[in-house]
Amino acid sequence: MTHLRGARALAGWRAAALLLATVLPVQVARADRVDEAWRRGNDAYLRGDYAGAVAAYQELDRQGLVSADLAFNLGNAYYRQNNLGRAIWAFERAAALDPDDEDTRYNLKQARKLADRRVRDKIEGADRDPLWMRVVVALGPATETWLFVACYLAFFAALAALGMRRRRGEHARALLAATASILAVAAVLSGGLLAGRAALDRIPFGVILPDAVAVREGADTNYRTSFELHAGLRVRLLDRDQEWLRIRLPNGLEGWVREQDIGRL
Amino acid sequence: MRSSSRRRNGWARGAAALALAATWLAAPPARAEPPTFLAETDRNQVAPGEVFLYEVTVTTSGQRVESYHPPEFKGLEVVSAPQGPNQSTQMQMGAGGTFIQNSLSWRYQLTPAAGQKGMLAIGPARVRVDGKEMRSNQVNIRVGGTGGGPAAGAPAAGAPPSASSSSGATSDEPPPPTEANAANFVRAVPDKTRVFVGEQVTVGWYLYFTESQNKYETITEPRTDGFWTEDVTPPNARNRVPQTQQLVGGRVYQVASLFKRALFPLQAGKLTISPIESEIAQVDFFGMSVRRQRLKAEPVVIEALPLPRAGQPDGFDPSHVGRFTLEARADRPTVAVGEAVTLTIEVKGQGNLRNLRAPALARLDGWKSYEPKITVNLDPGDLVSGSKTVEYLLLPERPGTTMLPSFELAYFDPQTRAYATAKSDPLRLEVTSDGTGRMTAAPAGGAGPRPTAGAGPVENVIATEIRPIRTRATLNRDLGATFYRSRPFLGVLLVPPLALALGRLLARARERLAADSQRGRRRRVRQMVRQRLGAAEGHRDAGRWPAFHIEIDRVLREVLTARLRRPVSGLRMDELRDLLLQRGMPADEAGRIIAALEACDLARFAPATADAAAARQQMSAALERAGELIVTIDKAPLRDEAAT
Repeated sequence: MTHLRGARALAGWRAAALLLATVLPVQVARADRVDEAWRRGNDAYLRGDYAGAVAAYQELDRQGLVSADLAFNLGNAYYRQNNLGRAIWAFERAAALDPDDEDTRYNLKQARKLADRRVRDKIEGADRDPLWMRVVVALGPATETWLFVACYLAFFAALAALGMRRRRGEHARALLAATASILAVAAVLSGGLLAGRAALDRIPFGVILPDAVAVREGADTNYRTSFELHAGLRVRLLDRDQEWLRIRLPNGLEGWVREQDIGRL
Repeated sequence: MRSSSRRRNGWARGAAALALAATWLAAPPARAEPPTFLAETDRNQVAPGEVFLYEVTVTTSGQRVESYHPPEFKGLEVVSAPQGPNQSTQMQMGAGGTFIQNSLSWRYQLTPAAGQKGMLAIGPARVRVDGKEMRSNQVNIRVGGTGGGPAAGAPAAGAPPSASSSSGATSDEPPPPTEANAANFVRAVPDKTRVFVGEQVTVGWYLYFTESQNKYETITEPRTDGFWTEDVTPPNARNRVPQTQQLVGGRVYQVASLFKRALFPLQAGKLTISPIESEIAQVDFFGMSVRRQRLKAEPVVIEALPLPRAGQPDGFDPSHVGRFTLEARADRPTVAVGEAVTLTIEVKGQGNLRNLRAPALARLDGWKSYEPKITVNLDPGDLVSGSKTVEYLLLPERPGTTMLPSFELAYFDPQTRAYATAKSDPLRLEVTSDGTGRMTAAPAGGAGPRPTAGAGPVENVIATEIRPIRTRATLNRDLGATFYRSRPFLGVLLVPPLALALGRLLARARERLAADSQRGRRRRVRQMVRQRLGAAEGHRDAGRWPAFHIEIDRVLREVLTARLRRPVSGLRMDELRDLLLQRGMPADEAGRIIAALEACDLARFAPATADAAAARQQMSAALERAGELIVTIDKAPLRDEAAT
């Protein structure tokens, strides 16, 4: 019986090892390809081949990689190409991923400054974003996620410790209970932030990409032009009709633009 | 089916014609309108040699027209005259009746006679209508200028150059074509033949032909050595050659303008424009070129006069000939250290703008400047004019005030034959140390051009002002940015409460399990006690004295073992007493237990009394005492060994 159990355990380990041997090389090869494209983009950028750099970074972007560094470098490459709309879009993405990054904030500011020197869209009567949205945007998704995970796990760890120390000293139990309460409050607050982030994700935003875009009254070129927007302006996306998007400005003005003229955030 | 349909259509048409005829016949008789006799030309002004149309028309309501006499074309040459009148009839039907109008018109092609200038009057033509003489109106036409027709840009033979040349170098009567009687020829026509160095002379190349041509090809382009050349051919003329008519040597030619160039002499002396060579051909029915003819123009000589020495500024650039204005402006109303400002120097006017050297910006202390961006915008037209813009991107390196002196451009004006200088207003630039400070970039005197926004972007800004890219060997990924939307995050949410609940359940189960084992032990002890006491009763009833006390001793020790959770059989009496006291057994009860055990030991080895009844009584009392001690041991508040 013991021999039989030992044989089964051995077979299990072998299967696990085989699975690892199959999956691990695939993952490693994929990581190598990602890093190769990343280095290729950086080399092209440093050589001054900005079109090549954009192509390499876009290749990574299409793979669904979420990286503030990738968005930052892509923004720089667009900036060097004098494509300010796309540069602002990429820097906005980098800033959304890592709002505290000073380089990203600086480059975004520079790109916006240059775009404003061409034409600046002044939105009259624009409403400010609500407080919760500003707080959520200011922290960034990674910070919110890890903050919540840390508070949440620590709270349950404190609860578990409290349960184990039930028969021990009253002082230690009181200390643990206070810690658990504080952690519970922190977990609820950070969970609220994360819920806000999830809600914000459901509100799509975009950035105007070309230097100038005619915003029309309907989803067709035959409709009258309501107003004109310029590169880098952040707009809210409301609706989609084939290749047209309905957008809304911060002051409530709405119109339709071609989907290709909007960079989704 | 088709033939019947066609037949029906034929009947329908016939019926309509009959109805029309019936209507016409039934209409009231025509009302007689008074006749008119009008003369007109296709333009009011012509250039010398230019051909224009003169037409005189008499309109009647069916009256008889006879005895037409053309007007006297004084000062004009008749290029072509009609053999007879063109006749047209117009019929109008309406509620007022049917009107019939007959028109007779005579069309002439005329051109001003040689040397004719100014206003010419074409007198009245005469005609008799129903026996009454009528005279047409008089038509006036001006001869001179560039003409007023569609071929205004085309040269008129003998008078293409402008008479307004400041140098007085005109060519009013250019030589006739090399082959005056040739059916086709090409020629180059300059607007001036004597100009100053750097002054513009416009030369047009024209094809003259009498028969329609289908094909034209330039074989040899004219060489313009010694000139700076600017193509001023109208954009539409490059695709579709404009044509006009011209009378040369008494022969009417079709004239096609081939191209035009503005030439700026780069040196003094006689400069020759080499002749153009071209080929024309007609195309036959099969698309083959027939009647090819190679044409060659005469060379054109332009005399370039040196610029006058008198009044010439030092280091004067001979390409600065024309009329210019100069403007300097900064694009930014505010600037801080590190922010860019674009300085634009713009030269506007007429002259060789492309070759003109715009004023350069000297090194500015406290400013960093980049290579300027230069753009030239030329206006369409024969005269080269427009603007040349030089844009400097400046980066202030420290706060303070900087005075930009006025820029100057010396030039020679060929119209006034004098030198002049165009100047811009000086600029004052203030730079603050922070991004919110104010900065003014305005003309120092308060007048002059204001800073304009919207200057074109300068790429240097892009290349210098952003933070560098991340060049880590591997790409950092922001897992946290998407982790909260992933399934593992759901696991993070669910696992801790589930683990906690599971732990609680396990602890409770363990407690219950522990409670169950204690109860079982107690049950087993009770069972053992019952057995041992039953056995003791059996020994008592049988009168087995030692065996009875052995059984009592065993039951007491086993109860103590179960209660104390440790074996007590090997302990001495004093050790057992200490243990009981140590575990919290009251001293008197511990003493009673020890006494009972000692009594059992003593009875096992001491003989029983001879009296069986007394022995039985003693054993019953010992049994009862053992029972009481068992209850005492069971209820005693004994501590676990670990707690002691």
